[in-house]
Amino acid sequence: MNFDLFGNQVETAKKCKVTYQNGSLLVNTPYNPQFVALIKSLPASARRFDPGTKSWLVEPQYAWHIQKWIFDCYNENIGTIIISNNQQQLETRVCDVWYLGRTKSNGDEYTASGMNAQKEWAFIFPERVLREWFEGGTQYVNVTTLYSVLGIQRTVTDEEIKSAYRRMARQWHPDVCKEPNAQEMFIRIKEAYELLSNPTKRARYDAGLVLEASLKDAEDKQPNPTGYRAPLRCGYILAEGYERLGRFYVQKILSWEDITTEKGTLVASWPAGATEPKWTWT
Amino acid sequence: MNTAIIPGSLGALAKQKGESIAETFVNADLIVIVDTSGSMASSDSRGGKSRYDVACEELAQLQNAHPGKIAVLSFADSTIFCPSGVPTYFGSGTDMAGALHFAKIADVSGMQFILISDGEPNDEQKTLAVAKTYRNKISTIYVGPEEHPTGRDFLQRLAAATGGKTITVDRARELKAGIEKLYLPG
Repeated sequence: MNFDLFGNQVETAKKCKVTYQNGSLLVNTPYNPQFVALIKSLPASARRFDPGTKSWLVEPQYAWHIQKWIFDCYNENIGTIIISNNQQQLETRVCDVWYLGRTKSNGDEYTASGMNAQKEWAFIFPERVLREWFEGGTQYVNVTTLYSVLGIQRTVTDEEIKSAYRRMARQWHPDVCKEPNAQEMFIRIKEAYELLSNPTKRARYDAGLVLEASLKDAEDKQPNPTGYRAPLRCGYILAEGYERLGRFYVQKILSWEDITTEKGTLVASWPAGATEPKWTWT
Repeated sequence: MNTAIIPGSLGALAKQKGESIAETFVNADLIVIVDTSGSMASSDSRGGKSRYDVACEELAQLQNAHPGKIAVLSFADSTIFCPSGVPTYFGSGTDMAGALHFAKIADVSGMQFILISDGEPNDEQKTLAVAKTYRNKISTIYVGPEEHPTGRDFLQRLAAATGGKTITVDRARELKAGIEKLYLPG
């Protein structure tokens, strides 16, 4: 509260602003280390600093925390934060993912960040969504199958196995892909193709998968994520999801196409020690 | 329960090669389905050991002789895949139909099946009905006592229904040789 020379209360412009946008609170305040520390005490999955707007994006259920902390740190009462009651609507988008990282724990679950063409980490892929796409659900959780090495599901045709092999071999060829394990992955892709392209071996492998899965029946079937790496690093991904903390939070992948232009097909990899991915057109 | 991993078993090979059980299973061509119901505990076999213990010893030698070729399943009231090569001892009923139903997933081209039992199934008709759905032959080995061959007749009928053979190995004593008589490594 401020007063003039005569002791009258005067209104001063507020330094802090909190608005509700796209399902998140947009919290804009002057820098205050105490306030930053308080924001960071929220779960990592519930807050994110957006360098573009120099604002914190916070999950709306923490509105009263924000209100209280602004009062404590800036002595400002920001009033009631109006939050729409509308449920987050699922929408379908084409995500231009130019690099997809490994899943990491964000507090609530394991998620991988996806970078767009502008090098912004604009997409979030939960591990369960990636596994659903590449491994066909949770039946074989924590098991990297030969199907997932080729980035395909178990129901694919022989022809689809062949085209998946070509695609993955192109993405992981050591001359192009600069990921530290490119050579090892390339060999694994070849082995997976050699086995799955042989109908007799494939039938036995499928039987082996079922028998192997039966061993886990008595165990907890819930995913126990430890850092999943999707076999593809980039693509035009048609996905259902919603906006969360300024990023598109994918709930279901509908299709995954290579990024192809007149320059060729994009191969993305992150060389060891590099500060950003390397992109090559093949 | 014995948790040893038998040399030559699928589990041992998978561990050795650093691959999954499913990948190791690609080279297996024999499924041995072992009855581990209560009667297998009868201590009337070699050296006063139980039929189950002797069967385990014989199976261990067999897997050692044919590394990566044999998948072991054990059954009683339920069925379990035993990649360690040691059939899990259950000691209860004989749901043979359930065992064949479980093993049916492996009824792929070139696979051989040998069912080892010393008793009679809970439901003969159901067991035969499941056996008849197999594309591969199921051979059977009777491991009960020769002088009281209860259950042998059924195992003969089961094998005949699928075009398989049947033999008797008294109290599991020469089980390895018996299996090898039926098994032609592919």
